[in-house]
Amino acid sequence: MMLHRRVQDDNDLVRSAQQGNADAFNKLYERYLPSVYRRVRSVIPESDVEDVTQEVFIAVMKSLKNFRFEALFGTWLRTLVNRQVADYYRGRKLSNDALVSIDAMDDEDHADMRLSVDDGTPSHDDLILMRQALRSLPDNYREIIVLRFVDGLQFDEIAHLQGNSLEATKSLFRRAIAALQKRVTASDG
Amino acid sequence: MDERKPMDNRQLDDQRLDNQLAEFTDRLLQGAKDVSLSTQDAELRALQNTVKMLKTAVVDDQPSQEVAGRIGASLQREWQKQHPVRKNDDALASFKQFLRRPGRVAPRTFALGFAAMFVLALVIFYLSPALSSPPTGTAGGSSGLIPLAAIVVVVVVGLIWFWRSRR
Repeated sequence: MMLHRRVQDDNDLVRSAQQGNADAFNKLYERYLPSVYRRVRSVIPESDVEDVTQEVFIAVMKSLKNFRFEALFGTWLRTLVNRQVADYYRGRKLSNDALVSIDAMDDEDHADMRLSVDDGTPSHDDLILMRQALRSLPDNYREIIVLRFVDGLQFDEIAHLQGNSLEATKSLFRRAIAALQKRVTASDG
Repeated sequence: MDERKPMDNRQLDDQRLDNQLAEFTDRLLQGAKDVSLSTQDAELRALQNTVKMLKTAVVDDQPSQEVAGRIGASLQREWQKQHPVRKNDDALASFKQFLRRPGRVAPRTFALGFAAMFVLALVIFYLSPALSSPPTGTAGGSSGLIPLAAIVVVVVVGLIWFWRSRR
């Protein structure tokens, strides 16, 4: 029921924004900024996250008149994010994997980065390391993690979205986490 | 038969790990307070720890107010570029624009502008003694013509509006 209400509310805001209501667009921006920001941050180098996030919302502004309510607004927005990310990498003429390698860190690199293990409180460095490791994963591993953690989709929803069984989805998820763990601990000393 | 067993056990182990990790992730992301790492299985515990850190690194990650403000300000400027507010959007300006480029003025604006001008003309006419008093020697006055003229004008304006809205 809450989801239905949220979807209806999104649709009302979109319709209003399509008719030129700036407040309605602003509400959509405030609602979706956190998830867009997190998704962009999981795939783009830190220094460009803000710019790409902004480009996403500008693309939303320009394309909003083409939104036909055939899909959820959140789903449509996710497509736009992926498109902007692809444009970003096309513009830099670099592939995702080539750009972000755990060995080629950008200006977030810290000299004595260590991963805390089992101490319950990750340090700032740990979090940076984790984000960089996430960016360096193969696309399918990164995507399932982003779908679950950033977009908040349940495993059965991810399975449906990707056309896989629930078991296959959970298996992919475990392998993605294992790959992430390996990358993170590989940089530990 | 014996060769199949290790493979079956491995698959079962993998499935168990898949389900336990998925369930742990679900409980963690739902905000459950009693989410603890496995004490039985080192491999599972390591994966769960990674999931916990991932939640902190990704889910709990929010754009700062400064970032949100900067992006919001840029979007406002972009919105104004894409949705310019017309200056002098009043009845007289619309009428002038209509004379220059008839197709560009919204029919409703034009109709309202014309009606406003007509009312203004009527007020001036009634207030002006020279115009409103009937000329001497005439049998009646021209007072009956004014309501008729008003009706004609309103009909004409309405027809123009209707015709333009159909185009």
